[in-house]
Amino acid sequence: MVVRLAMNRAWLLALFLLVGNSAAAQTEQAPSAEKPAAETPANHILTPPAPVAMPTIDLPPEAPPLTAPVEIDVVLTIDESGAVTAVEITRSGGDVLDGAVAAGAKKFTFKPATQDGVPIPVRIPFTQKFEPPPPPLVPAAPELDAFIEGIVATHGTRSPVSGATVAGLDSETGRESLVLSDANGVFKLPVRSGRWIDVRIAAAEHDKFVQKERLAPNQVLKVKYLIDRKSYGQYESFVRAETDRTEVSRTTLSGREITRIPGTFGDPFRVINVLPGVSSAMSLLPLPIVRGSSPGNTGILLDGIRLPLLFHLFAGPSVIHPEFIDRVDFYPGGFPVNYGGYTGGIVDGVTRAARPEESRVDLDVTLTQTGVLVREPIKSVGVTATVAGRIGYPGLLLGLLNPDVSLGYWDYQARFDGGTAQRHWSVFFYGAEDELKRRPAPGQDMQTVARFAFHRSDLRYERSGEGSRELYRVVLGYDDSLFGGDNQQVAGNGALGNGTWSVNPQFRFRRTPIPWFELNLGAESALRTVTTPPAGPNPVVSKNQTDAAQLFNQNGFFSASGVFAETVLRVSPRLRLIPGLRADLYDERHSSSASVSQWNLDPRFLARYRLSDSERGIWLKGVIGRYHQPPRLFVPIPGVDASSLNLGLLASTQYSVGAEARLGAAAEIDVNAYFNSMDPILFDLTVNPTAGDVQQAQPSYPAWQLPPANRSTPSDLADFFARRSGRSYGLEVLLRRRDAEHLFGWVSYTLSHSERRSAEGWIPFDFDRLHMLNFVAGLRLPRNWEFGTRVLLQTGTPLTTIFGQNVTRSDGQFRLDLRLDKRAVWNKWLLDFYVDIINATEAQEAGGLVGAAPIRYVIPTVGFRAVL
Amino acid sequence: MAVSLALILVTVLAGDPAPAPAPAPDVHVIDEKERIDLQQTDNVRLSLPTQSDRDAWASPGLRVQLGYAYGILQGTGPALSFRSKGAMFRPSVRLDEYWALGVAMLYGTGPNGQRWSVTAEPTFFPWRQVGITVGLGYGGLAISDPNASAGRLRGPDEIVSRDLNAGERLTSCEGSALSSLLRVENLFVSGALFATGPFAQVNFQWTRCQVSFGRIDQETGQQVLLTQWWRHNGATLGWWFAWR
Repeated sequence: MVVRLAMNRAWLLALFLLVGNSAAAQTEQAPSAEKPAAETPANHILTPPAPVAMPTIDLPPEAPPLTAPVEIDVVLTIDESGAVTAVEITRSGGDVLDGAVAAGAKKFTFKPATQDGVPIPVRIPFTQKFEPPPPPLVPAAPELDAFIEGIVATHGTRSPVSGATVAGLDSETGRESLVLSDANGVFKLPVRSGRWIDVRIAAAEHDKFVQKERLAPNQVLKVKYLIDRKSYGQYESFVRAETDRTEVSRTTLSGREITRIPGTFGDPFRVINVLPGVSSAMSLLPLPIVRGSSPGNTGILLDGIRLPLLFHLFAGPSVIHPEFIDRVDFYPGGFPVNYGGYTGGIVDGVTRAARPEESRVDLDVTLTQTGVLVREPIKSVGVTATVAGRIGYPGLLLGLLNPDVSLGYWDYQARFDGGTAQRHWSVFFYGAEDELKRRPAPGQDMQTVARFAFHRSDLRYERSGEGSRELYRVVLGYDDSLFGGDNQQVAGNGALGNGTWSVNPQFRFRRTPIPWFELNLGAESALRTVTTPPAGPNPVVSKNQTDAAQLFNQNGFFSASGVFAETVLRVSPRLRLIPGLRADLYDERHSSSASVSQWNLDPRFLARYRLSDSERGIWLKGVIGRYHQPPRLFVPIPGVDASSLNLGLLASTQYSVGAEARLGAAAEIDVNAYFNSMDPILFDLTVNPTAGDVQQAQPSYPAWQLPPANRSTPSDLADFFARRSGRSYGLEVLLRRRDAEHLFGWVSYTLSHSERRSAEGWIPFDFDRLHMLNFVAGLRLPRNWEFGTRVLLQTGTPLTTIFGQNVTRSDGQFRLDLRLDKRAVWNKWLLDFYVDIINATEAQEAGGLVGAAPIRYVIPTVGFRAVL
Repeated sequence: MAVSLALILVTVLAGDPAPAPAPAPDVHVIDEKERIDLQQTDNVRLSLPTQSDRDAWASPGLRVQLGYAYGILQGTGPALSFRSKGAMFRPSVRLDEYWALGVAMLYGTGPNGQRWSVTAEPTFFPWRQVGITVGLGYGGLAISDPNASAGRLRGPDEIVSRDLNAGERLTSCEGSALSSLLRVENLFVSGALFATGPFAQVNFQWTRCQVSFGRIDQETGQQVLLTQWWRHNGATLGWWFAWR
């Protein structure tokens, strides 16, 4: 559970207001007592600790005289009874002050944090600030015959600044009057008229302010002084409550970790490519290879429901405005039973509920798209509405190169949040459309070549109480995809469009009747009915076309239903056992053929054991589980989901063991070894030829001529439908510093072996990369600059020679991405400017879909974003 | 009253020994009407500068420069000569009054393609915003000779990769290697946050050019490539737009 908020002594008094909403961090607005309780990554309800007594920590008499404020950062460990059991100094102020804080903080008492109503230990940061004594007060003398009456507010956000010292220095006499701003930033400063007064304002976390004023006798000057913050980062620091983890291999990213990574266009879903266990079939394409599984085996989900389209035009921005995404949970494998229908990994983008009082306008403009987001509470009905939309016009740039092609996209989101923390409801509408047009001949009108569109309505009601939580949800959808359109010359096979209506009901139930026992139950279903328009005149019939129709023209009714049960047994404070069972039933009914049903029963068992009693002890962990899924295309396309049940279900058995430990207040290390047995594999993404293919005579082309487009490909759709088996095993290491203070980032390393069985025995998977190393860092700098970098080093993918299939490898890949953000502050709004350069060194990329013929590219992006 | 309480609170937090009794300050209470008036006032003031613009630019901190460059690259030996227009991006850190460290990225045009370079650059400021920079890094080309006639090399007959002989010449080049430069610049400070000015630089580029013909070496699985080293000497003029 991660909450980003500025914390100091005063704020801690309101901690119970703040920690309660992991989504509360997107803006710098003041917290509210009406925030719903936090939803942890594992979908627990976390109630933060509330302070009961916090005795003042006095400056020790033996401390040296202070001439400037001294801040001491500590991390408090609060046990199940609410007592502070440990105080860890993370920023020292010297031995004397550190000792005073450590002793004083242990006298704090809290109402303990709870998870689903069960008291749990947590760790929270706390800052103790010792102020130097204020300068002697100057009483209002008779000659102070005028007043400056004003408000001290933050430049850009206009948030009032309380406790700011406002001093008026008489430039002739040197006399100074001094007041403090109140909770609303208001002050009234007596000054002498007829002479220049130097007004100086000092406030924590703000730059110095200097201004000159000259008042007439008895004048009352009403004024607003806007002072600059030292940093306008959206996320001031982290409050990290360590919840009871009940999974083995989950990485949760949030905040700057999902919006400021170079090379991701600020899209949360792209960030998984820099995590352990993940490679890509090709840069920028949403084809993640997770632990050696085919891209279609990894679920890309939004709040646990499959997204029908992930990125606009497959390589553009994601179809959901990033502001809606609170965090991304990534499971490279071994995921719990509440996720079904996938045999690879899970990427779950978790949306956030808007706070009742939250208000903002967000406008972003880049060279290829414009987007707007408006969030506003509707107080009369107790609802917070968030409406967003984006329109993309990459075709404008593309049209400069090729006026006969047009590309465009749009998306929309509208979310309404209401209720309370215990009874929360939301309605979330979202959808998108991509369209590619092409002019068939000079002088003719543009005609649609491909169109992908979807619409969803997500209705949710959550109820939580003491030790329990229930979720009732239904997602209604309509998909509309078109291939070939009205121009048969383009696809050669007439229209391959479809219209899909879908209903996804979902139910979740969590109950913790006794502290050591937790029960999780769930049921869900995905029902789809597909209607394909009749093929155009003169359809071309080929084997590939027939195969494609099996994927895209799925006239009929499809259903996938699952139920699961899981228990969390807290055998001791150091041992967690989590057995679970999931059952799924898949059904496919066509008017032209017999119906097909498939089912599976997947047991999964997870265990975690802490080596010591210390809260910061090393956790050992392990998982063994069985996973099934229906055949699914390797890239998400609206209206195209699971199909070809007659081929059977894909299956895998996954084993993983590992260890994780915290390294200080903000760092952690996670190591996992895994083995996946995949049998059978269907719809596997393959590109490499066999050795026999290579031995055939190759056509050759001069350097100035591209190979003809109709060159025979080594693999066709027949390979796609082939039944294969495979295995993958390796080691993943993640050394991470969370987004605390100014620096965040991680180093991830993966040693991977992914193999497929062939006639020659076990051979490497076409997209296997033996070593993958990622370095990611984000640094917040003075004057509202932020710098980010990502470095990728990975070995190449297998290549086929006459000596055998996949016996050698392509060149390795190096990639450097850079990002620079600047936030400019205006009186009432903020302007973000960023430069993002993907592959800044234009290093060549080989392997994967690129194969042995490397490509070079650089993608610079410039963007602006205004926040009101 | 709120003011007095706040003052007392600060004193308590500081733990300062009790000072000698001082005359109680006048407390000026602002009533609700005055607060509303204050909220609605349009009389807004920002801080006056706390240091001169020139001092601000000479002080340590991050700088970001965007630049436009126009240059000539003169090829030696088989290398193709050409003119190039480009955009530059240069984040740097001003270390002190005299030194800065940065990284410059150049992306420019070339015949039927592009050129690029990424160089690490220390900069010395002998006087105000006049800087002398030396850069060393990595750069490359992806260009082809628009005037070359097809078939000057027997690419389709090659079955293994090789380096070209002295008498042969590639008509296109894709590759990268070492890039270096020497730059002189002057920025005119037009505010605490913005400066702009010209620069001139000479640069040297070595490129390991490789050309493929769409053929795969059946024994290695790799492309069949013809390789030749090209070297360019260049001169570039440009203009910076800089922010701090």
